Amino acid sequence: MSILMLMIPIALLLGLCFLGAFIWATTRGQFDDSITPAYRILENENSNEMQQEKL
Amino acid sequence: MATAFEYLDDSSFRDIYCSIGNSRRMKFYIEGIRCGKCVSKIENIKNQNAALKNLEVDLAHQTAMVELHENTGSFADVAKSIEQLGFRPVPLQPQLDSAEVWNAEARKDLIRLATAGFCAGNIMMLAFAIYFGLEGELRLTFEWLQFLLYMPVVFYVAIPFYKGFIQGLKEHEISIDGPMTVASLLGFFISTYHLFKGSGPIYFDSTSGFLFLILATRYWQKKTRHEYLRYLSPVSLMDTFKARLKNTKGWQWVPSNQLSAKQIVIVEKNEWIPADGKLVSNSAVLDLSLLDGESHPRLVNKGFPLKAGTKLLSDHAELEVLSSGKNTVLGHLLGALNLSVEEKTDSSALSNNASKWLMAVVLSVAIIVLIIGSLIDFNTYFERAFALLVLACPCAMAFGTPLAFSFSMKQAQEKGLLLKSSKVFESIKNVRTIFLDKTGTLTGKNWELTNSFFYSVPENFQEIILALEAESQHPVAYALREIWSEQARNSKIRAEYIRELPTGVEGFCDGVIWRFCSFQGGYGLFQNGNLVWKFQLESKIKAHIQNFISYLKSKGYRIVILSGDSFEETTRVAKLLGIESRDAFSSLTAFEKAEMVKASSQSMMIGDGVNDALALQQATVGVAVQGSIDLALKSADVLLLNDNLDSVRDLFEISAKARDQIRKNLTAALIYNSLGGVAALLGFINPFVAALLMPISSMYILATTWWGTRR
Repeated sequence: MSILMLMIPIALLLGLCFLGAFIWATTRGQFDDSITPAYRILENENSNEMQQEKL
Repeated sequence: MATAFEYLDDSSFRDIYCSIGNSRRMKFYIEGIRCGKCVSKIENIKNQNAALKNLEVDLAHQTAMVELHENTGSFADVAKSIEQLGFRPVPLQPQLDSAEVWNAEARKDLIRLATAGFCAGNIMMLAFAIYFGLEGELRLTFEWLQFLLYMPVVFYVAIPFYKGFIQGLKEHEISIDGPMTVASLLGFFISTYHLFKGSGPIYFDSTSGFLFLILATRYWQKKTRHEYLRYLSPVSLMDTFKARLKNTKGWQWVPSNQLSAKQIVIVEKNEWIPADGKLVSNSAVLDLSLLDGESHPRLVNKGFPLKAGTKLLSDHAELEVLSSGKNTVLGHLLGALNLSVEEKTDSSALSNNASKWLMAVVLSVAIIVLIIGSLIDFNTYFERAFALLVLACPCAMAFGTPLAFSFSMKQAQEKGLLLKSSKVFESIKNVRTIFLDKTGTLTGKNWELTNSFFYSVPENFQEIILALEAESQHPVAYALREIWSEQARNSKIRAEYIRELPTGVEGFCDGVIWRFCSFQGGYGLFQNGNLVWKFQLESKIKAHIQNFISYLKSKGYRIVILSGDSFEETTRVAKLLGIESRDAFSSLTAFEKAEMVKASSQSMMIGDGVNDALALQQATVGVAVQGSIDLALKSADVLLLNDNLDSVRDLFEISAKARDQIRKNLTAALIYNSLGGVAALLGFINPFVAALLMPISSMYILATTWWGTRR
């Protein structure tokens, strides 16, 4: 069970890294707008292809 | 009308509108964005414009952030591309951008929530091991780890609760933060004490758990509420921000708040006057409805004092600036209004006396039990009192009421009513008097032809009248040109030997003498001296108004009309609607209207335009009507999105339903707290179970509130 003495700090560290990443993303504004990205995924890629076909 | 955007690349404008610290970015409000398709349409401009680094649309706020590769890039090109797609871009000043303020706050809340979740989750994982029978050195280690993980909670996550608690004490009010602060601090101190002592239960898991859950609920509530608030910016007044400054080469665009006295500004047809000043060109026809609420266009002469916010209806005018920007009458009016778009969220204050009372009882019982119990057996009774607090804290009081409000706000929005805060639901209960603005609210802003009688076979009378009034600057001429805009455009008829009369105009057309003049309270057209057509020009009362007035009367409200228009017009409208003439007030200024509303307690004011903004603010409940200036929306509590005044009736009904639901929630809370509280005090519920009961009771409240407030 002494392995736990290693595992627990590592697990916490890992968790803290994720929390850190979340905080970093939030401060850079990734989660500011939760509505528009939903529409962006419906965007048609065709317009880009048409541009290329024109060339 | 193709708007020239070149001024956007002018350095004086860029200083004002580019993002602070980054002159390659500028944010625009995009008028006309409605759907998701618009997002991709606009963002695709990125693919066509090489100078554009990024173009990101925010659908919720209806804005677009433009970022160029270089400082030398052109914002004007981007704006033009947006306009070509059919939208209207308006640059936003970063200082006035409330979206940024909101974002900054929301980010902080989210980080706090994430930290709370992280700590609470990990503490619970460690606690589970202990609950399942962990003993010995490992158990001690786990307990210390819990303590470590609780540090961020007590010193960072719980801060809003402490603040709310202190604020509540200052205002002598019990807010929901009170018991939560007490519970979490109490739990912390006792747990720490037991930890150092080496024996005794610890409560880090329950306290961090419920703090996290409460924070999550509040965050969700705040977000939901924010999403209902459309981005409010004075878009209609945006054209007053730039002015054509006359110079030796003609003119150039300058920001209107940089104008100085004695400078000459040129204004073209249908543009807004950008500053206060004196008319130096010969004459002008003005639309004063924005500031004064007058429904008639007004002809003024050289020397007339012009005000920013007035619209120019005639072709071209020049004014000598007197004051600009904040120093104009409009600027003062804006300053007088409280320009806070996002009202302070009051989710922690208990809106209901009953909930305050309930909370007070719970708190006192907990304290009494603690004091008396500690004399007998501290640990046991502390745990029971603590369980009581944890059990009672959340529940109906914490979010039952805000939840009912959120659902009701959503429902109101579906009916075309946009509420700025849930306070309306409570304050509307006490309304006794309804104040109605006339122009734009009861009547349409434009004139309509009424009571038209033909005394001879109608030929192209409209075109003849238009021909007679072709050169006229008279307000009636403008009104007719607008009503008969199609004929005005296509007419080939010309009148000759036009002669102006005191009451009208006379001229020669195809061998016939025509006269168009005032007649019997309206207007008449005479052919060779014989009356062939008579009609009246009136502002028409909007549809559904009569229904609304009848509803109000049946409920016993006193109805008062406040108008800046003439006595005749106001009493005419009052009579038509069945409102007593002593309750119809005419020729009022914006300030006088506000005074009248202020004098009456428990009032609702329904109006539009800048001239109603002050009165809307004074009312207990202010309702701004669609078609109104966005400015009025800043001072009103409710915004009517459609043109149907009858929707206000829905507001009354939704509010009653919301209050009803809250009463039901509180009853449920009472039962739950009594039963659960007694169980906790008798030792049947320990703090951990109490913390678990919380999401269960929350789900119950969620379900019943949703059910009770649906249509």
